[in-house]
Amino acid sequence: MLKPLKSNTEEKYPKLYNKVLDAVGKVGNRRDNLIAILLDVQSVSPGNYISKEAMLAVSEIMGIPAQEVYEVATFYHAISTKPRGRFLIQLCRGTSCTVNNSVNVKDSLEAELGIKIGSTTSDGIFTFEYTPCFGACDVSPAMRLNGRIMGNLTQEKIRHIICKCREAAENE
Amino acid sequence: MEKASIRIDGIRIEVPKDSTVLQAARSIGINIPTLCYLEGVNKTGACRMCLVEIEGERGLQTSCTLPVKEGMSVITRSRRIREARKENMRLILANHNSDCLSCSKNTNCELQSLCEDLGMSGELMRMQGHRPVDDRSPSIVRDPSKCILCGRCIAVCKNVQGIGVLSMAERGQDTEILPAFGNSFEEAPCIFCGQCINVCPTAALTEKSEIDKVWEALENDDLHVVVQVAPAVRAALGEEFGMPIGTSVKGLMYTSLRMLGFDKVFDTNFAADLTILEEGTELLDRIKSGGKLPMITSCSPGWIRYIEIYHPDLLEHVSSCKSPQQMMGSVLKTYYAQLNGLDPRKIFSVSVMPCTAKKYEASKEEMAGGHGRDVDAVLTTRELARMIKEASLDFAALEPSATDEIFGDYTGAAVIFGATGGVMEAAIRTVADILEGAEIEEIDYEAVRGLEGVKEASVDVGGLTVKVAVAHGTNNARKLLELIREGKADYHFIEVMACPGGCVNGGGQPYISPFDKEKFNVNQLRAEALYKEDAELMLRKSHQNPSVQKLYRDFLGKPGSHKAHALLHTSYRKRNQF
Repeated sequence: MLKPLKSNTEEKYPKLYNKVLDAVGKVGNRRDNLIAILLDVQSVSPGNYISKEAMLAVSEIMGIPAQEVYEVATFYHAISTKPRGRFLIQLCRGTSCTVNNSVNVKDSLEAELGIKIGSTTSDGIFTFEYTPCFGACDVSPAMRLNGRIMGNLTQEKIRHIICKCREAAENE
Repeated sequence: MEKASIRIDGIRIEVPKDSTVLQAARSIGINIPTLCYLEGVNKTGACRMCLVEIEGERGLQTSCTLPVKEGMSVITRSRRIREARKENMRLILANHNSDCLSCSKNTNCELQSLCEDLGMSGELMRMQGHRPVDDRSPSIVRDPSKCILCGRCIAVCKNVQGIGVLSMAERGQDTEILPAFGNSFEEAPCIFCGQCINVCPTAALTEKSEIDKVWEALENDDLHVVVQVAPAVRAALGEEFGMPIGTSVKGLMYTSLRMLGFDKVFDTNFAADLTILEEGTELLDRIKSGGKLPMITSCSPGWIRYIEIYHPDLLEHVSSCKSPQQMMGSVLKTYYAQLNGLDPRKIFSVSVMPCTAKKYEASKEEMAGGHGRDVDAVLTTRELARMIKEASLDFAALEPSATDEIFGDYTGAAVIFGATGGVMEAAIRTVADILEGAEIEEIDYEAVRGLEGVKEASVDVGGLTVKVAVAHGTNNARKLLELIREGKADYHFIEVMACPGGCVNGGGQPYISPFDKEKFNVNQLRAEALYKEDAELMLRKSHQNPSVQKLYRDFLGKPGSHKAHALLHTSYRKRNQF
């Protein structure tokens, strides 16, 4: 197997490097744990994403060429290689939600946030994107807010949720 | 090898048990179409062109990956297959830049050929919106709108060269093959060897064109435009004009260059002889004074970039000599300029190379002096052919001619530089005479010739047993480097060429279809053209080159002199790509 090139990630980004070491340590340094490790590192990274430096650190520590780590990171929707907002709103694109007019939810959120789906607000607070069905069909139309499922959405509820998020962001 | 008995389209045949259905079919003249398959490099079943029906199986199978089984019955040309192939082709074309007329691979493209063979007709889906071309690097250009995601480039880089610069990123409609992180090839740990270009079935990967730069210089009356041609070019240029693989077109090549408007036509082989003098002297010096051994050649810029990026701890082993291309460039802008009373700033120096990495090499900071760049523009063999065609020259009908004086004079030792083992053999011929203190007659060192990945030899001269090794392809180079690290490499001298087969298989050589690659041993045929020229020349040892001797007498002094070091030697550094 090809040995990865050594980068200067360890000396330039020691905190990140240690985060990766922890993530690897938790599940074991084996090639088939790559996805789990990437998801773990993502969840403890500011910006809720996997940066190039994170990929280089993973590559070095796991002995997997950076090019292959990049292939895996870009392939899965659950892993983002671009920074995401403080609040990640994922609108379900499944059949149930669609036939239950998730389009109204999309329109409401776009109006409320001032951005089109698939983007991040300029203040970096909200990222709004589609996501594949996550099985909340009984409460469709549904969305996930930082992983938490919110269903039976109405315009009222949406306004309320966004308001709460904005308050929380201000108090941080 | 045990045999298996199978039926293909009703024909019963016996094939080796480890064959694939594709190999079995091709052995009886059924050339099942393929786009992603490349023997020995890529076998993934990605393009879906090689589909066949297997009696008893419901779905169609990719014959390139399917092993034969005793009693298997294969159908390769039912209506179902023909329709399936056409449908898959339509899907490929829906994501493909259909502007063939402006494409550099027009009439030489595997996708085009296959469309013709399949008999595509009717309305074809057209691509909406192109992703931008990446032409940031000095050597390789990537056009995602022409990529059919066959993956051959990834495979050759990872499995043949042992590097692996390219990733298949994203998914679905967004899938793209590119260096990790969207880097340019220069930011990536790419060595510019261009093997990826040589396997690309379309024009998704091509060389960075310098044709316009050269036309402009040729049309500028103020400039004195000179050209040097590498040995490997003459062994392959004819292929671009329909000549058989392995035809040497030396004379026609020189004439065509003159007709394109170059003021002087020289030959890189002159500088190859010069390189041997400098490098041979450096080697003998290291042997005598306990310098760093084994010494490793430095004429392959892909190899230099490889060791600078991947094995910088071993840089001290590399010879400080510039490559022949760069030595020639240096000499032309100093000695040649002086000889002819020319202003070096008005000399535009062009080289024609089988190589894409040479474009990068010529642009390096250290490859310049007070006279500007040693070499101002580098054309690949393919680019020269395009210029010849653009100038409407009937290549085969030209009158062969010779080079201009002095800087086109060379010995047989120089010509074989284009083949793996050639630099080593040339060096041995000179070093052996020096050590022995006499003219050795037997100078065909067969042990360093041929296409084996790593070759070894030892020569007993002047009381010394000189041990040498030759590697081609960076994967093989790595094996020797690891031996050096382990302290097990007791060689004096090592030749490394980044491209498998040596320069005759450089990233700038004419494109050979996979079908032809299976029929002909291309590298061997091209190399044979060079060894043949060597065998027929009167002078076959670099130190016998009278023009090189004159260069030292009149200008450089002696090999390794202060002036020689200033003009003909260089230095290396570690490169941190990530």
